[in-house]
Amino acid sequence: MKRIEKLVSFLLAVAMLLAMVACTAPDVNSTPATEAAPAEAATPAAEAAPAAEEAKPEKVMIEPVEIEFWHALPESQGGTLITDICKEFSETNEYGITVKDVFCADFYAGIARDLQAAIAAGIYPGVTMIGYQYLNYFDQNFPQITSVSQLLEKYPEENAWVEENFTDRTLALTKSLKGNIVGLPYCASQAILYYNKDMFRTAGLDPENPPKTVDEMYDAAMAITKATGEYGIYLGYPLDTFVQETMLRSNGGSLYEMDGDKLKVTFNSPEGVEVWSKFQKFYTDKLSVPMTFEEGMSAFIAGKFGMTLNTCARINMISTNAAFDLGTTKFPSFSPDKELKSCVAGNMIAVIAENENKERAAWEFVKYLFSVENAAAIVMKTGYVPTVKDLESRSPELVESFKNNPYIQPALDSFGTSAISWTSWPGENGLQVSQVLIDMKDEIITSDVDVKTLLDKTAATIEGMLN
Amino acid sequence: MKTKQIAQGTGKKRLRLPFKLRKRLLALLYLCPAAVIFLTFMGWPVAYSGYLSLYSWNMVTPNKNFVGLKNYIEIFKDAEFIKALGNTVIYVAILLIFNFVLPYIISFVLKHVIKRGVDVYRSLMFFPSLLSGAVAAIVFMWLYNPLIGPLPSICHLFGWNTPNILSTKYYVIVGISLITAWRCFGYNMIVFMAAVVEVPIELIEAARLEHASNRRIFWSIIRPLTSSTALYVFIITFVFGLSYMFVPIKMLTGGGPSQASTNLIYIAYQYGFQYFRVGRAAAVGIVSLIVFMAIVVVQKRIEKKVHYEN
Repeated sequence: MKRIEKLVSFLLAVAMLLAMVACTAPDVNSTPATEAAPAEAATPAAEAAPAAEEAKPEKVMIEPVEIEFWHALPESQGGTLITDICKEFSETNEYGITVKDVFCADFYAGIARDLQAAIAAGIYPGVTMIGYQYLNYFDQNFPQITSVSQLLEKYPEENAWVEENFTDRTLALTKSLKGNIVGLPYCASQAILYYNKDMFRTAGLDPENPPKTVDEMYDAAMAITKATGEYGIYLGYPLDTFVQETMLRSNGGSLYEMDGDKLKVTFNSPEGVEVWSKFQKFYTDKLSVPMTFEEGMSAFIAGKFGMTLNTCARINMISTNAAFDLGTTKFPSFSPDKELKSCVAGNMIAVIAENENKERAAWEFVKYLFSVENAAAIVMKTGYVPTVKDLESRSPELVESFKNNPYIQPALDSFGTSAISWTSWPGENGLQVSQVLIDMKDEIITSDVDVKTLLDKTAATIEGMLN
Repeated sequence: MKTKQIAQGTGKKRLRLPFKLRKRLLALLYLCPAAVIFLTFMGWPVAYSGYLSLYSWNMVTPNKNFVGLKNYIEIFKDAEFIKALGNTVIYVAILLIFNFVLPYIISFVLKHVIKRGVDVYRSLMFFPSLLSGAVAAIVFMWLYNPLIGPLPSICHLFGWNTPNILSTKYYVIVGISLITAWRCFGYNMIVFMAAVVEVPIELIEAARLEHASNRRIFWSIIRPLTSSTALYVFIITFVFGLSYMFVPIKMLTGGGPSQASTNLIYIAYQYGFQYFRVGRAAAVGIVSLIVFMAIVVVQKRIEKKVHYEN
């Protein structure tokens, strides 16, 4: 009896497993199937192309299609504008392309996570935002993305549009270690120093002469703490090392260098130790306190910090909510004799489509997104700086907007003269390396650990992970 | 014999299974719907995770590389994983105090000790269970804010220095646990109350006549007679508690500072969806499963001593 029972149970289990395997097998290796899709789907477009050329050689043929634009901008930071742009494009484009905007929570990490899951399920959005820090990871691990370099090779006639709208300098922001231009630079932000002029006055500091070097920033923080009893500065970004990298690069250091195929970690150089030690001093001297980003921003707005190093993308939010006399200035250089090198945060726009028709539709939308009106609109709505060539001279509204927004000027100056790419770690462990650095930063600011020892230990860990 | 004769008499051969076998087959048939759902949503993912844990893959590249047990070996070498394992034990210990011991005692107090305002207390305590994890996390983020939050302001009135809960090692685990405990407390208390109410009132009254203290009544009458419910709440404290931890960790600390607030569930998410190392994430998942299986084995042992009314 028991044997029959066992047999029936076993057969049931086997039947279930077989059914599952049959159902899920195509999903498991979805990429070959979706790789095949472009060839199949390309046929009608390829057939249609010569006919179109005969009639109107310059006109691109695109079948009506629906694509999605995945972005990470919440409503308070330009999200509603993205919705409007998608709607307007869908209603006005001549090809019958419909673009649906899809907001991915959790910023660029959220987009990367959602893209990974979507691609595994064989879903390709069409157009997506990608954070600059993901540049090399996406270039090396997401073959489904059609890079701008590939697009320009396929459609050489588009070179003129790219040259008209981007400079080599801005395109360098999206150029991977392999030399591919993965996407087009869309939102670009600079870390700037926000400061509370009222607290400056209380501390006997000149609010019209804010700190220009990291040492001056330290002295100002000390004066504010002594005079007001509040913390001198909130050094933001708990979930990345954007601020610290800007200091490191401004002091002549770097995170890593490539020696042929081998990666050498360099942030534990004497310049690196100097930067991280100075950074730690803000905490050990009680001029700053570790806090989550939301806590820190709320506290700065409530007048509990004298200064904060933060992204210019928050200008509108901070200036609207701060109940004190707010000032902004460029990120302080590391020392008077060294130039500021300011890492650029933000995102690029990339095409990820499963067939040629969708690819062309996606590219048409990308061009619309970067039109003078729309590129200017996102800058005015957020606080990001323009990435499109000569945008200020092409958009009178933008010039007017800058005149009415005194806070953005330091970010514009910084982007114009000091901007450099934010380091993106290569390799399949590249994203985990970013977390290792964040953990190292946490250790430095929450303890009195010896900086040099910790930097050496972390550098060895990272080299082990990447080589 | 009789069956055989009837079959021969009618000229048809009918196969009649023995009664016991028929009963068992029928039972299996009834189990099928639940078994299908269980195998689809639990069995298959577990089996597939076991398979993926033997590969190095990021979910988007076409090829998976077979690496054998390397993922398991590497996670045990990884200090981050060991920290997550240790933190998980601490989280569970805190949850057992706030979501098992405390609601157990309070349910007894509400039923047999306090006479007035029981409904009000019960409603107030159950209310947080209705909130989502995200809302609870945001509420506590404001409460904990070391510079403008109400909790530090109250502490300052007494001249106490409040620690920066979400950014300080050790405190952060307590801070995150309290958010989850606040949410789960009400549900567990209601479950306990349902069991406490079932305890015959005559037993309690007889004990009171004998001048037994409340502590004695709880320990010698309530505890043994509600042990089956206690076992259930004990298990859900582990299972629900740890999964409810995910949202506040994700929203408030990202596992930091320096991985001080991570746990097995969050680290599996990080490996899978932040670092795109699916094989390692699956290996962490399988190890977590084994840890929970060990708890189930303990449960089975305890179950023998548990009182079931029927």
